[in-house]
Amino acid sequence: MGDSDRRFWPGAGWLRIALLAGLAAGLIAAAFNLGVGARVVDEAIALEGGHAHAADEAEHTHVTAVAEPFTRGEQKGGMIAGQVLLGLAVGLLIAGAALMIGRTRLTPQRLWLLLVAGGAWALLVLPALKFPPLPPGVETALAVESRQVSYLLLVLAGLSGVAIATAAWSRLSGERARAVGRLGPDAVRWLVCTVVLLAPAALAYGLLPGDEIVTAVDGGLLARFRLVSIASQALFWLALCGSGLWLLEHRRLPFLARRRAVDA
Amino acid sequence: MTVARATLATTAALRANERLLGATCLVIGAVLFYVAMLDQGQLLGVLLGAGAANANYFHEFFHDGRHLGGVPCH
Repeated sequence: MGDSDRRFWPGAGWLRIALLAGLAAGLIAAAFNLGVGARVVDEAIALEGGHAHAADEAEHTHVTAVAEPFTRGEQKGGMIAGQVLLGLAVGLLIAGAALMIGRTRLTPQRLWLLLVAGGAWALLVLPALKFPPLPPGVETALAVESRQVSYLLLVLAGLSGVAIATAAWSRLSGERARAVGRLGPDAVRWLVCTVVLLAPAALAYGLLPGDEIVTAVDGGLLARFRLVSIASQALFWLALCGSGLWLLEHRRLPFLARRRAVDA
Repeated sequence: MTVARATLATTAALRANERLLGATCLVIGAVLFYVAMLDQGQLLGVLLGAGAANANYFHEFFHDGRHLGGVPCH
């Protein structure tokens, strides 16, 4: 690594890099959702329609269906748009975090890795453990508003853990590193950081209300949906990580380089 | 001395600009995330009235992506 590489700091260029990486990740995940995810969603929606029809038949009711504002085709367009919007949103959040943190001893590549890993921990891993993805038509005991609040608190707990662990890692370096008993300075550092990373998430996981499915559901479909959903999210975060690193490595490409001069 | 002070002032101004840009990115990013993943009619309800809130357009449009994205949808 050259001296200029060590001094490199994207500054406002974080915005361009993170937005492009977010866009790439959004498009890659959207392609996966369109090819693989949409089939499972369609299957769940067909099952949901069948259940609703059977319930109407059993109760001899003939309720007039409420018109949906979008057709299934439009909702598939919305799925692509939503994934791209999510990519841009996450890109902006990561760029914002990098700009607020500012220059550190970390290289921009390592800072990017840290921020993406923190995001994946808070937005993918923790929610998947506490509130595993649910296909359409599956009702749960908690109202959606309560589940959304719990989801956000879980995400915030995950992000807090990442922030505290990062600060602790930085504080426990160099001269401040201490051995405790038979544990060397490195082991103490890892132990403290792991504990403070997990503690807020464990607290939120334990304190937030759990949820349970209250409708009849096809176990095979549920398992397949969860697998596809988690694979889609994992693909999104991996694509975000890879494309961001690639852009940071290729920062001298014309569309990434800063404009240095204004034509007279 | 004067050059050093000027350099420090420029660095501080650049840092302040970066923080302002960073805060703006965080706010816009959070709003976009809310629109794509969480809104249940509240946003358009505020902007366009109760009809838009009841139609829950963002929820319906981004419906499949929300389910696949693992966020609470219904």
